Amino acid sequence: MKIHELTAAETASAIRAKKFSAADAVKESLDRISRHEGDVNACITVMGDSAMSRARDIDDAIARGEDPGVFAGVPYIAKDNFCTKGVRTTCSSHILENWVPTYNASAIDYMNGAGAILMGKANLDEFAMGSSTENSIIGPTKNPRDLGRVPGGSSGGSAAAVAAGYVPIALGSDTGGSVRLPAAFCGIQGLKPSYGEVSRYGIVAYCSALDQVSPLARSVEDLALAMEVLARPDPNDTTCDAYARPKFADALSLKDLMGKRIGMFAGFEAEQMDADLYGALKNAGELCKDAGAIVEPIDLPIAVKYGVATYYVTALADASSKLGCYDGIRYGTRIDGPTLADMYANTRTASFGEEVRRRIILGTCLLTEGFYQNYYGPALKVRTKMAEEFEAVFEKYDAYLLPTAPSMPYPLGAKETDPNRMYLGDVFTVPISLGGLPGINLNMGFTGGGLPLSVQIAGPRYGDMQILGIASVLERMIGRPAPCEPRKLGEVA
Amino acid sequence: MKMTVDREITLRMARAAQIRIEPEEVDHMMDSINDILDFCALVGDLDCTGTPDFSWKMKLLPHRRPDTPSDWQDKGEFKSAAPTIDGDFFRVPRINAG
Repeated sequence: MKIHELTAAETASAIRAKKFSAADAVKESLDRISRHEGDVNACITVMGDSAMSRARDIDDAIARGEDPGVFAGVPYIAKDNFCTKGVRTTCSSHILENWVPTYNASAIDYMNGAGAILMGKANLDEFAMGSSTENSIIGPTKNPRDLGRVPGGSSGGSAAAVAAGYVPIALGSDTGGSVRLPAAFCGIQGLKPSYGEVSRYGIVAYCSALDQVSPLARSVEDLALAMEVLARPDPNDTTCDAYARPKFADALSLKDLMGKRIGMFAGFEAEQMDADLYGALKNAGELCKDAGAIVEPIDLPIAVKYGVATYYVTALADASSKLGCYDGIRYGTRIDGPTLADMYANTRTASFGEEVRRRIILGTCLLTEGFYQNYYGPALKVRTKMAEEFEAVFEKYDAYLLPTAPSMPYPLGAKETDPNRMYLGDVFTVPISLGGLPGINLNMGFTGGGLPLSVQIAGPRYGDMQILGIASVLERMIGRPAPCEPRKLGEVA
Repeated sequence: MKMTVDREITLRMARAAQIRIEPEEVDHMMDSINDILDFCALVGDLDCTGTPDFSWKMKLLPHRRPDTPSDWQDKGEFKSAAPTIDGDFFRVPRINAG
């Protein structure tokens, strides 16, 4: 097996056993990037020199008999909304295109502390606002499974980098599906942890009420190991819970699903979503039964009907407030004008893209008298109702199976002009975010044509370990996804 | 209750958000905001009488950091990120023209 085909756990194990060096792993990663990046466009910044220097440090530590950590010498990529000290962090926006943070996000410090090597910063929809990774200053990222299609978003660069074998593991952020959707579209695994499990300190905020640092990988084991590294109390983030985390990797010892009760989504008819994805959901239910679980259909009427509307009201209002800090004064791009108001308007108008400007203006609107009473206020109450609906489900069930996306990855540019249609692609992911629940996208294999199939496994709040266990049992039955040689499907013989 | 914006409200909201909309872009922005408002009006359809606003519950609240002054960070780092500075100050244009 080639180095780029290994998981993060296998890579670290081989480096510790001196089967190959961290420098070899970094060389392989850089080689994959240089060979395929012209087609995929997943990276905003590649950090070849610093990665190689750090690899040598890791190799020296191993030679001295030290253990650099669970991800010893493992190359990884982080979405370009994670602050990285001394390395520019653009959020795919002109307003931050030359901004160099003076500190690391906690998640970056934790990954580095566990021996992982940061290879670069991945493309995203501007400020994580989007579902396709097309709204970016460097242009769209393409799906390595089919270069004519979008990789999903907003963490599309991170997902594409893992699918294309640049790295075995990556960090993204998930607000309403921004890791689970690209993981589904690129045929890999992705976990959005429960809200409060992982520190958000140092990720550039889109919606602090929902944003979560989330790992993407090609195996459930790597997601569990990432949780061991990332999930811990952090005094720099007051939304990060202080409780003592379980040992997430213990979830991997689950042998079968005997005694588990699993609810399966029953709110959509087959004809309302892609037939192959509907088949993948049914298949996941059958596999759970084969593994010993009791699987029962159950609807989520409030979450499905009201989820997307509630999400956008909540997220846009939050975004308009969070993005108020970009004023061209303390950092970021500035376009001068004769007065302060002119400078603000010049800077923000020219430096934010169309989707971000629309969301800021709409969010501002939602927080004004009248709109607040008719939109934002009701959304806060609908969200409580939705949380109650989930609580009732998880009183009876250990996990809940539902689709990640209602459709296959669509051709580049296909949905860009219709925001409502693009937002509806999030119908199965946003309810999980609004409830603060953990959700895993699990790859369910591929269609005969080579497009990825997927299912989402959700659990109760702080039930991350529970769903990692169920996902690991299913992954053993299905097989874990391999990285691909990026290609356009029409070109395959 | 479903609400809409007109050209005047669209421009007022844009001004509040410190974003300029060119005259030829106003109708497009207004229409796209109205489309989203139309869809999001769903949130008013559910009977939520007696339901409290959503709030997060945590297992264990984070420890608070002591409320004491911390070390002064390097001013140079912050100043180097600023587009325009004047000594130790961020430089901005005048507030009023003229």
